[in-house]
Amino acid sequence: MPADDYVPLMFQAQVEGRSQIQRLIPSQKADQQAYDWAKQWQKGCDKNNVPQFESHIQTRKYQFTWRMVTNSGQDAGVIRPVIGERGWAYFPGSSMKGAFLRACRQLCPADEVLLFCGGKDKDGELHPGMLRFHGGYPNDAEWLDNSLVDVVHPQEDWQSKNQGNHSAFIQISLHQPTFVFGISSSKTLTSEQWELVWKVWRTALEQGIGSRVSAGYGQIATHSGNKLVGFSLSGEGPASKLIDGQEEFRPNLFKAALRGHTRRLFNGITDEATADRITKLLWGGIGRGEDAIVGLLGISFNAPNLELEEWQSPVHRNNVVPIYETGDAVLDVLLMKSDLTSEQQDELKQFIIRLMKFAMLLGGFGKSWRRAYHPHFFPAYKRQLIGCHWEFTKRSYPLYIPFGEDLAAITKFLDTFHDKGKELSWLQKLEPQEKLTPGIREAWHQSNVQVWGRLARDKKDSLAIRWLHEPYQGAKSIKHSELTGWSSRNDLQPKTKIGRIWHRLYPRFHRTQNSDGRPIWKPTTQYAELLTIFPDDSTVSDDFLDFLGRKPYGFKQLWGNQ
Amino acid sequence: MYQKAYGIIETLAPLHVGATAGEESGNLNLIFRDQFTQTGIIPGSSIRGRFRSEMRRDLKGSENEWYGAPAETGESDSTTESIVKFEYASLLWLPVFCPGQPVVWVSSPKLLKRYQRIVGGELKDAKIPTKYTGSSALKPLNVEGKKKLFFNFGFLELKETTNLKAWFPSGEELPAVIVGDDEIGMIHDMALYRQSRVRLKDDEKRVDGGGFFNTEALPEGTIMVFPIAIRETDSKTPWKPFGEKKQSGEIYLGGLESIGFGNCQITIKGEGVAA
Repeated sequence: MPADDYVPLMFQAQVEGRSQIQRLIPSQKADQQAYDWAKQWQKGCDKNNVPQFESHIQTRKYQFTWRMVTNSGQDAGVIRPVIGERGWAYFPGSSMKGAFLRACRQLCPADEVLLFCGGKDKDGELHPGMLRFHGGYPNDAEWLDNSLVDVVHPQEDWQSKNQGNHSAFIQISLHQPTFVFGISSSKTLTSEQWELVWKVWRTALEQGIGSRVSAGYGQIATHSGNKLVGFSLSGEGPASKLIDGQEEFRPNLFKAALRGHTRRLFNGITDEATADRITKLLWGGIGRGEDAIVGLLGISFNAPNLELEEWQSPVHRNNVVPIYETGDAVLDVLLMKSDLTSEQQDELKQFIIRLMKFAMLLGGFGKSWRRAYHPHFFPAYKRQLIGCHWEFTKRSYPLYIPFGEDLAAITKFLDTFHDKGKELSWLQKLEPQEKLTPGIREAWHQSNVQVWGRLARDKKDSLAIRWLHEPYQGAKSIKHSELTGWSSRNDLQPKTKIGRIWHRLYPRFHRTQNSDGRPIWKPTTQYAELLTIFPDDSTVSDDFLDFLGRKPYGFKQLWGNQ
Repeated sequence: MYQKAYGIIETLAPLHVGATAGEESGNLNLIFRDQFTQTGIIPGSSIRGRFRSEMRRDLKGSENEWYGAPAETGESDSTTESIVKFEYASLLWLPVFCPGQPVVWVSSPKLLKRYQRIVGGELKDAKIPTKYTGSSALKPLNVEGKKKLFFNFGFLELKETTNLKAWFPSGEELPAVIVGDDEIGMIHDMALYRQSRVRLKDDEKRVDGGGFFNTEALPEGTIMVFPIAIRETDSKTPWKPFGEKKQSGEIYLGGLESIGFGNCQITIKGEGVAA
């Protein structure tokens, strides 16, 4: 073996034939270079000696609810953490000072900012600040395992445009680490001043630190100043898998879903370029120079009781998939910029609430979000785990759309959702839509989508779920058609196709009043069974819509032109 | 007559003593280097300045006596000679990250020679280890029967291993290796703590155009040495920079304190220091 084979991957150039950690070769499963890279890090790091701050440095400990990464910028083409003392992951003091300064400007008067962080005074003279930011280290070596290898899988084009290319990339990030941060002062501070310093640092953390904060990276559990709106919710469904098969619940799926719906909505209101622009303004986007936009919105998810389990098909014993149950969780939608007027903030908040109501009404989040959760609504089906189910929990009950027998409230909500979208024109002038942009499959426009619904008595009363597996009438079936799509079929081209139909069972809530006139929300056993269809010109689609048009089992059209 | 003493600096955080304008270019904030070995040094003036400011805080008024009075505008002969004289600090051991060790301290014959001259005493007649000598605490790789070490970007083959305990001021033998005087500069360049920094916009997390600069610093765990000469005086109180019965203390040297740089442990040794 030549000597250079002993060179650790971390010290090899990111070129073909040397180190290529960002590269994911799907056929190789867990045998990716990123794992070798991580293993070499595990071996090289001095695990037994947790970095300690000197005694004059004050420290505080914070846990991140999900992943955290500060891009070291070291290797081209891959995001990986900064490596500090003796191989430990490190959050640099300079990054800490920057985050602190920003929070300090929000909370403290200018003279205090000058005292803490330094800068120019009123006369333009430079002063050093008295705080020293020593950065942060994890509090133990638990982060140093295979969970470092993280996947980034952008699917925007694949899901909402015309099944554009999509591939996953590797990134290296820390999974749920606890960090100890150190701050010292060159002058003695009173305990009240120290309390203020740590309050400012907490505020800085609440805005997220490191990279990808809008997708839920680098977030702690609380968000006081920058929370736009919080949702209490719980969900069940199939969990994501990392490349080595390790299951993980990945909160970035919320941003992906809300971003996707934002795009669908605006594609139905305006032309493609404007819809793209608005999506980017709201949720951020990459690009060169001014094209790179920090979005107005970000998310943070905290599910302290989240459980991951395995589901095994009773029919196909080899078919084992990870599933999650989030338990009562909180999804916070964060405001990533502070320069909005209170009217704009309020409009944005109303928009997010409508967007979230829409997402909960017609779909779900994460894998298999276009289907109702089969274990709940079609327990007899045992071949695969399909669908997911999300519900608001108690504090967010008022976000349920209270509908009567005729489901008219749902129609009304969908009208409002579409109309009110136009009010965000302060973000970007909306170009009037002449006709729908071809190639956009799921534009939310009366001419492009139909929502059908009926009232289901209870969980077992779902009818449409069977139509995805059995003929709906006589020999007529939509199974494995263009309408339903298919997944992982070797006999079909492409192997996986996204369908044009969403199916959801939306819980029915009653709104009543208690004795002192305050509204209370009562759950029922009933559901609205909803089908969202983006018709194409195929016979399967025409036949199925004809069938629905005859109002079988109480189905009727709630939205869209026939 | 002068009493001799010397100081040992151990960096507890990265240490950045900036080079002057002219040596640095563009957006790269270099550290100050020795012109022969191209390794980091701390000028005597920087060390003195820090000692003076510590004393100005703790024993206000006496700093001019120990470290010399500055010139007053308009008054001739207002300066005085300092009692304590500092020479520049040079590198003694530089830690280099090395997978499997995980840190190896590096020095060169020239740097060791300066240390020998400053310390004198027991080291006076010690033979300076030749290049590619490793310490006995080192665990080299065995590559086809040869003892090799992987340093950041290359391999080093060890010629011999020996006990280098005498060359560590703390008396603790660390994993270490001696490299050539013509090589230490290159290894030093690769082992420096380097940080690319960007300035983000005040109101959003986006790079502020042009706010991009690079900083280098001596890494944490660097050991340096500097000679001190103390002029004999009539004063009965000896020089005690760290207070009664203390020969060691934490001090901040260099710049970028606000981002955690410059924290150092300094220990004063030698005949001129009251025990």
